[in-house]
Amino acid sequence: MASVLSGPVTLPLVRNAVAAAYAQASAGEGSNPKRKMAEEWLRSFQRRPEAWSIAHQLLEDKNATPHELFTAAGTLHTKVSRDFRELNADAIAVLRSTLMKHVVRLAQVGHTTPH
Amino acid sequence: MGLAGGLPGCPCHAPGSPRVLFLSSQGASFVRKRLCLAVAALAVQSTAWTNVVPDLVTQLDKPSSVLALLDVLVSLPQEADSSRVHVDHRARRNFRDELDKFACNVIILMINKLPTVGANTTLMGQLVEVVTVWVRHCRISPADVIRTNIIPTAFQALSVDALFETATPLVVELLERYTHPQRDKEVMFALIGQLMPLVPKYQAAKRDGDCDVEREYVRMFAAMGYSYVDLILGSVRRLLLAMVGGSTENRV
Repeated sequence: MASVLSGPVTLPLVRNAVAAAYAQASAGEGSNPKRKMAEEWLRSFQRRPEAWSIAHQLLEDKNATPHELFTAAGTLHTKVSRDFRELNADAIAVLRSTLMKHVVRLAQVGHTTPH
Repeated sequence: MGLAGGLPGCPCHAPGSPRVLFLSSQGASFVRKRLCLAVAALAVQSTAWTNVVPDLVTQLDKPSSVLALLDVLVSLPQEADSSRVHVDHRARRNFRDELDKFACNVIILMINKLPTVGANTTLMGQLVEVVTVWVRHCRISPADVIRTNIIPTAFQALSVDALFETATPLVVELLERYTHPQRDKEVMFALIGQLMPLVPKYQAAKRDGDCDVEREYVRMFAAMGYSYVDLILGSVRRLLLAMVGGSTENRV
């Protein structure tokens, strides 16, 4: 995986980067170069316009791993904070409604699980 | 949703084990908190979204979505003040004004929910955390602090072992924000009246070697001493003037 994004970004590439970033973390290799490269790649991905749609795809995916979901949520937070101006009024309305839908669904996961 | 599978790469998280249930809930919580930050960041910047606070409360104040309500209420004031949210000064100020306008309603909503959550101290802690964040980031008048019963609520939470560490930041926040000897007098005396009787509890924690509890009490008493210097010096000054005045009268 290249450390800097040059070609098109696809969902499988993002999944691979998430897996690489967290697999190294799970193995306790915090300073591993592969992990650093994956994290750098994910940071570059978050600056790309495609990050909006890929983050949504991950959040909609019933088979997404917790790390993929966390990355997708973090990506949307970063995009909204930094690149809100990329969105037109319609896109903002859709984003708001989609975020609320995910938030409510995730609240139900926490709600039904015993503390 | 893929949260039921636990975290990858760790054989102890086999599907169906209690550990997986715990991680499933915790995993959902992490993702939800990030999405709530995104909702809040969007609310700060979206001028078309009016009445954000009442709108979110209406949508989320239901038993099935109360966790989302608490996460989003914690996120709103934080994102309003976050430099990572790229928004112009005027829009940010308007949003902060909007939060100030609803701060008392949010705090009353949280305080009213406390007795309804039974023995769920996790949820109680989250309710207290919302109050803390709104006290920290919003402008709430001293009269409203008294009116909304934040102070008795904070000290009631402090008396519950499981909430002690969650309630301490709220007490410290109140001690540090309301420090004007005249304007904030009522809040300051209410806090003094609640905090000073806890000195024996601090001494007991110190005697029993309970370092964590002792440290939290020290935080509160130190915040009170530091924040109330003007009040203390004012009292000393009045006392000295009374003594000087008295001795002068005696001499005369």
